[in-house]
Amino acid sequence: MSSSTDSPTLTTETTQLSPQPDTETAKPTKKITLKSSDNQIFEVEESVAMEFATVKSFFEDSPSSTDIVPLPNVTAKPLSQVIEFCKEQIKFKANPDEAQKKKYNAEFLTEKSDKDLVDMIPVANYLEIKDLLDVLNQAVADRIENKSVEYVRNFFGIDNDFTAEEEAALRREHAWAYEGVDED
Amino acid sequence: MSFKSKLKEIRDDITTTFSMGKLQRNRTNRRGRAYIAPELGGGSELLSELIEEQSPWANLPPELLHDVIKRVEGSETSWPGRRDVVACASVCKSWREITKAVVKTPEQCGCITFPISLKQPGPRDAPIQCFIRRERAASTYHLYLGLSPVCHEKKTLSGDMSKLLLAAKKIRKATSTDFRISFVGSDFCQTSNTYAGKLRSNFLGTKFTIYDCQPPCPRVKSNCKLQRKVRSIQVSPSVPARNYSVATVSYELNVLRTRGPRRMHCTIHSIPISAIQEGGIAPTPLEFNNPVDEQSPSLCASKVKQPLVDFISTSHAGSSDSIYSKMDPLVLKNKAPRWHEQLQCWCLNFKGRVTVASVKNFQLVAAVEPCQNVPVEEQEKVILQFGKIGKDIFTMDYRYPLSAFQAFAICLSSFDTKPACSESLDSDKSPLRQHRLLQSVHGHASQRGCNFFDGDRETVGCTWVAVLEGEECCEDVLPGTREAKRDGDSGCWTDSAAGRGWGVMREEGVARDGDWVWVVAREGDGGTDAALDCGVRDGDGGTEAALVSRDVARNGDAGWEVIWDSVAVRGRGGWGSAAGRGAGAKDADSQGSRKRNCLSSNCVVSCDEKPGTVEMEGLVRGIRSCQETLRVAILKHPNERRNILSRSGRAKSSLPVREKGLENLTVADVLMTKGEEKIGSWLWCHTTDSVYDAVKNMAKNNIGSLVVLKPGEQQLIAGIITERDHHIRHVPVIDGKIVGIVSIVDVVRAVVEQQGGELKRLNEFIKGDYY
Repeated sequence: MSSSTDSPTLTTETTQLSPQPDTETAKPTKKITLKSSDNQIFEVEESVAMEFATVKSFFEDSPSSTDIVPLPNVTAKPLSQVIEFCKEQIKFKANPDEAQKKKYNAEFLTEKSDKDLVDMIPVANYLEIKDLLDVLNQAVADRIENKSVEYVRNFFGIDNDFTAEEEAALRREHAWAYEGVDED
Repeated sequence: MSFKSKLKEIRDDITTTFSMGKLQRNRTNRRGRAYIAPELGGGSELLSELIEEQSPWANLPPELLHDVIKRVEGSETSWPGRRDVVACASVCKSWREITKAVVKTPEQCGCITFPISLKQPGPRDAPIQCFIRRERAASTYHLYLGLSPVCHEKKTLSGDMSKLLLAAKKIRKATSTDFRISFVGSDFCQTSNTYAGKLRSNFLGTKFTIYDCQPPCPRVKSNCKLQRKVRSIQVSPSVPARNYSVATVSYELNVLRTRGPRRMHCTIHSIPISAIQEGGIAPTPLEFNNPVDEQSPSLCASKVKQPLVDFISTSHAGSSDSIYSKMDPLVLKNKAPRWHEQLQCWCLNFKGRVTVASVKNFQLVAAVEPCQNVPVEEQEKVILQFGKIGKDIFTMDYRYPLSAFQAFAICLSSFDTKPACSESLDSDKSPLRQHRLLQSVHGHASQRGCNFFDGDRETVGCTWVAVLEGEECCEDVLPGTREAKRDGDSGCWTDSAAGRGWGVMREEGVARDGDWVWVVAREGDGGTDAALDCGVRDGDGGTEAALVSRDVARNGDAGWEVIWDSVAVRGRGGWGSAAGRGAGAKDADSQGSRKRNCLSSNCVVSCDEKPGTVEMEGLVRGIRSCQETLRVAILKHPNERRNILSRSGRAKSSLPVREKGLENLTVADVLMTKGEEKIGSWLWCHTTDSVYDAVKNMAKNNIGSLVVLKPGEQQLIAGIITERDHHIRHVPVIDGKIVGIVSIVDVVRAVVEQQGGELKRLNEFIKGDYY
């Protein structure tokens, strides 16, 4: 991953077991170990890991594997956030409460910075977590609402690759993009 | 999964998204070309390379971007939110391509997104609703998207609520008028890159040409067999390089000097008739193809000329018709009104989008020949509708195959038509104005029928509208209303003769008790002529006055029209003396209100002074106050004449003798013409006076005759003495006692006046403004 994100300090808790009484506490839950591109180790419950379609297929291909699953495209910080999200989603799966779920999702998103969001999207995509991707994409779409073109570029860290002439032509073709935007 | 393979998938995905449905399948080709922008050379590799080069963002693969942009697009179907979509397209090249792939044309999604959408055809089903606001002072017209008429009523026309699409400025020239159309409201320069095109009128304001700033989009290929070669636009040598004639609008004048309901004829050269045939498509430009700053003139010219070659070789520039005729352009015409059985009137259904009657209102449908194979439902679709909803506010609803630009230009032409023919009538300073009974406006489809709003007044159940072309501007309407319902037993208005229009209401010229209006229809050759007379009654039985207008209704092949030729009673103030003065009875002698008066079946309404129904009494009084004739009433009911005149106090003096004809002229009439001050001013002498005194008296007063009186107070006449003895040139008039003297001069003057009056009336009659 070529992300410029300096990996967060290695405080990222290796995900502890959260022996919730309402989940299947009877069985000792199997742990799966994930390794991010910046070499952090995440230990997650199997049920959480199975939310990650990529990981799931990894195990389907080699069911007996007990190895650490390397995630070469994923850095620690977004991964931890993704795991956090998935853990909650599992609770909602066991105990459906749409209102609660919506509320949680909204909170989850509002406390994330723009950068967090943009960083999480590739992770969610790589891990193929459809629900999360849905939520994130919508959040991103909402966040660039009524923003200037420059703002959007900054938001995603995109370089303006138009030449001056193209830009001028664009101003005409897309003139309406430049009117009535919010303050950045 | 490798990036490239994913990309490939995505691209396929995009393509399939857009090839759903028959319509889209037809044009997959075109789309493919279009969305891989020419500068990219086409091909998914390039696109993916592009994305991979974008280092900071390379980790967000295109399908995610696609998803994000799709969400942005999906959540914002109206402005101003839709701006975000345009912003996405401006971020960088890859965003631009993906956004373009996500965004559909107005035809497909009913949304306007990019400025280029304004040059693309509108949706096929529900029209795009816009409105136009006119700024008279600045001569500008602004086209906004959306907003229902309700919003207008509440005056919430704030700029941020509505999206400015196009703006036009009227520029008068020596021999024509130009409406320059721009994408912004501040710059109308033709060389600016915000310039969209223009509308140019001819000198008379009867024919207009629409110019587009950009050459037509490339020819559209289609599987449809009917599809012909679509595009070809001539570069007229007389116009600047960036104007390409795409359509003409002409207004038909009718022979009666009145335009009546305008009949329009729009030929859209840039859209083939095949566009509305089964499976047909209209040309859809996908981008502005000649931004000024990028294009060298030669390149521009070659681009334009290339598609022309075929046509130019066979016919020469200049007669554009011959060039275009090869491709059967789309032609639009006015929709004919329908007979509304319940309301008993002719209606055009504007579906509540038009609330004020105006000469400008129109609905256009395609004019097709049977051989052109256009489905019936396409023929009946209103492609463009334009109408007034308030002062300087008009709605414009357009749909496929017209673009917003074309629709706007056509509507602008409605602002500039001149009453070319009625001007000649005005040259004699006649206070009479041309009146038109125009298209009805079928407003809200409620049980109450149609509503007309005019300020705070609401007239219910009325459908016919008289339109006055007043002096101040020809657009002002008078929301004249005729009760569509029948008036009890009198059967005013219509006895239907459905299908033919107006029926015979009453015998000509006979007004019955309680009738206010009656209509006479005549069967003419090839159509029905109808004359409308309005009778006004006092309520106690006799006809007091009549307003006569010679309405002519013609049932031509193009539909029905009624022309309100003129109004009978006129006064010093202007046309509507009857109505205006009637309405303003308290102010009957003022110059009267010229505008916004109307006649209806049972009321006279004036918006200026006293809205609402006015008592008949008031109307009659108003009429009396006019110093003009009440011709029909007088002619038809001569016995009533004295009654009216005496009550109106007009018989006292200076009554014109012209009513009677020479054979009926009485000495009293002649005597009256001398004027009050002269009537009693005859000179006399007494039988006891000397001849010398009498001659001296005659010489002193420069007269030739004296009445000779017997001595005494009674002024009994004894005889007459004149300066000569062979001609009797003076006759005393005796009514018990002498009341005056009539000379040959008086008689000649009366005769001349009589004949002059007759001559004038005949003249007026010939010219058509006689009543």
